[in-house]
Amino acid sequence: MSYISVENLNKTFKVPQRGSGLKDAFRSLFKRDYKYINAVDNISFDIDEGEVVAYIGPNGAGKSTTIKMLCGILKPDSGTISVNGFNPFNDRKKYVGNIGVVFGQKSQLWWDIPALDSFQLLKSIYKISDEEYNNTLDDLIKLLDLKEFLHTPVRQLSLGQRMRCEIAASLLHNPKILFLDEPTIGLDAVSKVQVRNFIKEINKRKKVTVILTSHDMSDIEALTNRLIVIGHGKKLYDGSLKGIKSKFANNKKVEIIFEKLNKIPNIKNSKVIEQNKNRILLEIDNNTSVSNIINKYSKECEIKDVNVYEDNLDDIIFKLYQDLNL
Amino acid sequence: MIRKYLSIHLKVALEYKVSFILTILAQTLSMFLEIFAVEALFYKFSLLDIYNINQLILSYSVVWLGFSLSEMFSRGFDNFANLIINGNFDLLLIRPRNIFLQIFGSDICYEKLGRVIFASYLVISSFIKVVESISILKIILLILMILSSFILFTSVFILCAAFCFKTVQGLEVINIFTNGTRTLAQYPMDIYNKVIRIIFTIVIPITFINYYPIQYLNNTTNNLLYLLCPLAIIVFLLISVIVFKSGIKHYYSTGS
Repeated sequence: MSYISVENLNKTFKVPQRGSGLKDAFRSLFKRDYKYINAVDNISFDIDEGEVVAYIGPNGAGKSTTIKMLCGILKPDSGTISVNGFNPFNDRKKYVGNIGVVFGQKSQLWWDIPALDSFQLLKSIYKISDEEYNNTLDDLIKLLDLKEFLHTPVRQLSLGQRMRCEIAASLLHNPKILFLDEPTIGLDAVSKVQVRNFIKEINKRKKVTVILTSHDMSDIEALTNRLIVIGHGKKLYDGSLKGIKSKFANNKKVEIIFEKLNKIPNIKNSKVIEQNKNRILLEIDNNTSVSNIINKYSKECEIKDVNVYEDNLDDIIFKLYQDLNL
Repeated sequence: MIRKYLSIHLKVALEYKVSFILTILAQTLSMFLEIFAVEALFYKFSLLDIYNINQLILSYSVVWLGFSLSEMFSRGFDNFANLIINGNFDLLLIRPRNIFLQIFGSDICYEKLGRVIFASYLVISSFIKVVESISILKIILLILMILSSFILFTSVFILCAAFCFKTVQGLEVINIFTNGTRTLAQYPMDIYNKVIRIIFTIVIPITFINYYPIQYLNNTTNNLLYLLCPLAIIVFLLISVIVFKSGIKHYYSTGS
């Protein structure tokens, strides 16, 4: 059996419904209508030890609900989860010592005091020995560059500094699995890269299994090879990043800049998207060779510059969501 | 871990020193005024012949002490709705420790320290006046009374917190149970009619923390069973804990 195995997982929420006016609000005091939402609908997957998996989907797709069930916070309505032999909800107290969790929108640090104090509280919550604590903390301070602001009250830290402290806090007890729920939300480019490099590093060095959700496709491209896409609570895709690219990225864009164009050459499988006085943007499918295009154009004009653009992951995911009607 | 929790909350409180000290003073003053009013009323109307003022103050201050201790140490349950609304309950669930211990640790309100000290003073001074001769048994009984008063209010907090799993928002209705219980419990049960007295014996077992034990303290009875009264609270605590635990299964969490 694999390290993390999820089978036919379901979770339904009961959501009270009512109109917006005062009258409806008053009516709902006496009679409530409920809508049932299948936040997680029959999802199954397996994850091996040491894998980095991105769990993505549009807002409200059920990502956080799945993560919460994997962490033992929510009780599944039906289906089974087994992580390293544990059932997260039933064996909560024994299980959660093995996991670290970062919720991008919730802080586990105490707002009014320095992060170091929070770390020491976590040390005694997790019953970490002095030696292990010092080693891990030294490591984390070096890798995440925390030294300068470890003694500053958390409320005075920048978002990037705070997030680095959050990540450190979730790794003090050397967990075997790390759940990251939107870890780079709101971060600037430098902090993002720092966080990403760090995640890669601990995955490689300590064989930590990482499961992350993110809306930032560059996170995913930088960190993982495997994607699980869900929408409306259902699993839609599970496979490699390459696979999803070859499935949905079948177009390239070629931009040609020139002095003067006599006439547009006729090329099979190409489409002009934009055109102005000294620039033309073509869309071609992956089988058409770029050199052929350049060849034909060079007969009609003097080419000054050529750019080729591949669909980036954002475009692909956009197409994917559109295709699946999300 | 408990020591760490105590120290971390003290650090937080001391981050805002002026506010901390002013809150303590204000709360102690409000309590002082309340007890002053009770005393004045008592002299004016001499409520009951069988109760002298010291018994009244003892009964009153045992409740206050238990309530203030609960507000100080069981704040996490008192404000449980907040813990759910801002999603921090999720963070407690991902720690490998007992969930009750962590909720206790999530908030400790040192601002109640003034009330605790003032109530302790009243308890001890009125206790000395109520008992004609101090015996070890009576001291043990007093400690049991204070403990059970603390446990009682904490249990009420836990029970009310369990409702939040269903409603998410804290309910104002719940204050009837917490503050209402305290207000009613302050006075000797003799002044209430039978129905209220039965409710406060069976539903919320408040008579066990002051009414019955005081009968023993002032030598009205010699029955040793009265010594065990405070222990009845344990049953109430157990029920609260069971209700709360079954609530966690229906927990829906908020936000992403």
